[in-house]
Amino acid sequence: MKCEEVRENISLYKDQMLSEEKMKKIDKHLDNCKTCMQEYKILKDILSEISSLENKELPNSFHDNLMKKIEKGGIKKEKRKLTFVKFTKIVSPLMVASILIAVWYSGIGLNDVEPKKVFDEKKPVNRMLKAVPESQVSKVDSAKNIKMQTTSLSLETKDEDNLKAISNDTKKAEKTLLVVNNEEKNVSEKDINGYLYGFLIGILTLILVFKKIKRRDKNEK
Amino acid sequence: MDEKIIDRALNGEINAYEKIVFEYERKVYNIAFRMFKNKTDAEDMAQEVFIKIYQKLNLFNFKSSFSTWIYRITVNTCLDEIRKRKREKNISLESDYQKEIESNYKEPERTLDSNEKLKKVEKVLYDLNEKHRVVIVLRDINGFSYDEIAKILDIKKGTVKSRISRARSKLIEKMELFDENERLNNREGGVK
Repeated sequence: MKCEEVRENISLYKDQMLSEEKMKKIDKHLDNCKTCMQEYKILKDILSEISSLENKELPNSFHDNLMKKIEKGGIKKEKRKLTFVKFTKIVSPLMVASILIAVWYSGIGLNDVEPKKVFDEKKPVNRMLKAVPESQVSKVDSAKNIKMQTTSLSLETKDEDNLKAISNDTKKAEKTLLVVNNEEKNVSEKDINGYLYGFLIGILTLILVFKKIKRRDKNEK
Repeated sequence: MDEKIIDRALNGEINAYEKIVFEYERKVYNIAFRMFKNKTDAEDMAQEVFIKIYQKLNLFNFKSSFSTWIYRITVNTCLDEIRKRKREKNISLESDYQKEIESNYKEPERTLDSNEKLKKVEKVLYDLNEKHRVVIVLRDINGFSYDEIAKILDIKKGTVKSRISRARSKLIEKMELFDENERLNNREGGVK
């Protein structure tokens, strides 16, 4: 082992913080190298002087003064501070959740991608039909056809049986129209409600979180 | 430290907290004393430490050692104060000591008795920067193990090893410089 390496490790050697192998190597080196031995002695002397520095006695009034300060001060216990990281950890999932809910309610789902291709959204009629599935659209058409048929037939034929059957058909068709109309109405209401719900949930979450932080701040003060 | 006492102190029992203070006040005060140069600062620091501990007691994690936690707060409080003063005054504690060392040792030559030797060591110790001084205070004055120091300072054991080695060689270096200055001063005194 070289002198340089020994001197680098001399402090750890003194505290026996080296591997057994290194300790032995340095032992051996110190036996043969006067300069390194001298270095080691200097270190040992200084450290023994330092360790003999006496402990100081506490000033007489120290303890009483301290206890008075603690008792009188009524020091408030420190609350765990809400750090920025913790804040984002709490808020981000809530935000994501509220956005997801908003999206889900508003009906901008994957299912609506296809109807968008089929219908021209600029036309108001088609915009109304946008949310109505195709099967329902065909129902509307057939219902309208039947109604037209019945009105023309009722003028031309006087056959009662026919008339009965047709009037039954008309009633059925009218019912279907009613149902379809109601569904259309429901869908457009659902659209607006969805945005509203999502928006409200988002705002409520934010208000709750900010109130909580404000309360913490007040408590800390 | 008994966990029950900590629990009782946490529940607001001042007597229980006083027991904690009794147990650690001397050591905390002495660490602070070695980090600063005087009793007043040491007293202020130690009081601040115990008030901090009282305030933060609910943050103590029972998994780790209570004493290590207390000494960590002690060391951090002292280091924060030293750094704050350095920033404010722009005059470090070291330079104060350098001046003191210079003024004190323009005395006629005479042999140093053991008491003076200690004073010399003390002054050289205060001449170290706070990063090096703290490891010497913990290791060589208070006898903490390398592992304990790593926990107190919240650094890796390897870093403790290199920092202690570095601090000690600085100490030796400064001691030699001190002796050198002393010899020069004495020679000048002799010529006059």
